[in-house]
Amino acid sequence: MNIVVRSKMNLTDDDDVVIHMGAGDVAHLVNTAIDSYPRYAGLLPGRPDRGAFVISTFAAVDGVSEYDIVAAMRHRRFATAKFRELKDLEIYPTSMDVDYLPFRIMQVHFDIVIPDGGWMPPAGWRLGLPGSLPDGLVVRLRADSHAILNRFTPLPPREGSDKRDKYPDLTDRR
Amino acid sequence: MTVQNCPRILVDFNWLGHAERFRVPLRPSIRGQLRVGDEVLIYGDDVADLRARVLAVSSDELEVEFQIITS
Repeated sequence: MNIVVRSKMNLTDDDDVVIHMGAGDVAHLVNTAIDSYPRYAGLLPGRPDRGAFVISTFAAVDGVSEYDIVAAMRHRRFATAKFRELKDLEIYPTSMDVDYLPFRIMQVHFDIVIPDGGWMPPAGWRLGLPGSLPDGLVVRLRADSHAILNRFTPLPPREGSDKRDKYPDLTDRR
Repeated sequence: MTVQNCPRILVDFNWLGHAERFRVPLRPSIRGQLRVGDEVLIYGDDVADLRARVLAVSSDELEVEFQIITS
């Protein structure tokens, strides 16, 4: 499973960006970002030897609707924001070289970078070892993630996690 | 091994969607602990735990393939 950066950054101000909001504790979201850090080695320009802490989003563009995005996911809680509300963040169009998601959904995946304050993994660093990340960095990642999530407007929760369940009417939420 | 004490594997469901068979990287803390046929709990943020079985372990133990148990 490798992350691929697409060449096309095709978002415009009025495009809707969909994010899953987690189960209410931003620590879980940050744990996932920490777990994925090594896979993003080379994502950030000028930092080929470092990974990145990121949050996944999907954009309702190229014929893919918010409904399509929500239907492709197991999560229950989602939120949306206009791209113009996110433009000052570092965002990359990213896909994965496996086909677990429908191709058209994979092609509208974007990663928002959670700033790491220039943290550099020490020599011999291995994720998952006790104390592998400085406490201050984890606290900062949580705070910045919380601030990013606050830019999004929550959608009503889904009634279940199965894709056959009823979904909220995404066209009538605002 | 009961469901309660079987290994718990954190995954990012943003990349997996509804896939029921998938390969994911393993954290160093769990490497060497999984064998083909083992049962695990797959978990992620805002998704109910899913029972899964180990289908394959890469020779370097960096990745494991799982099959969600649906019955």
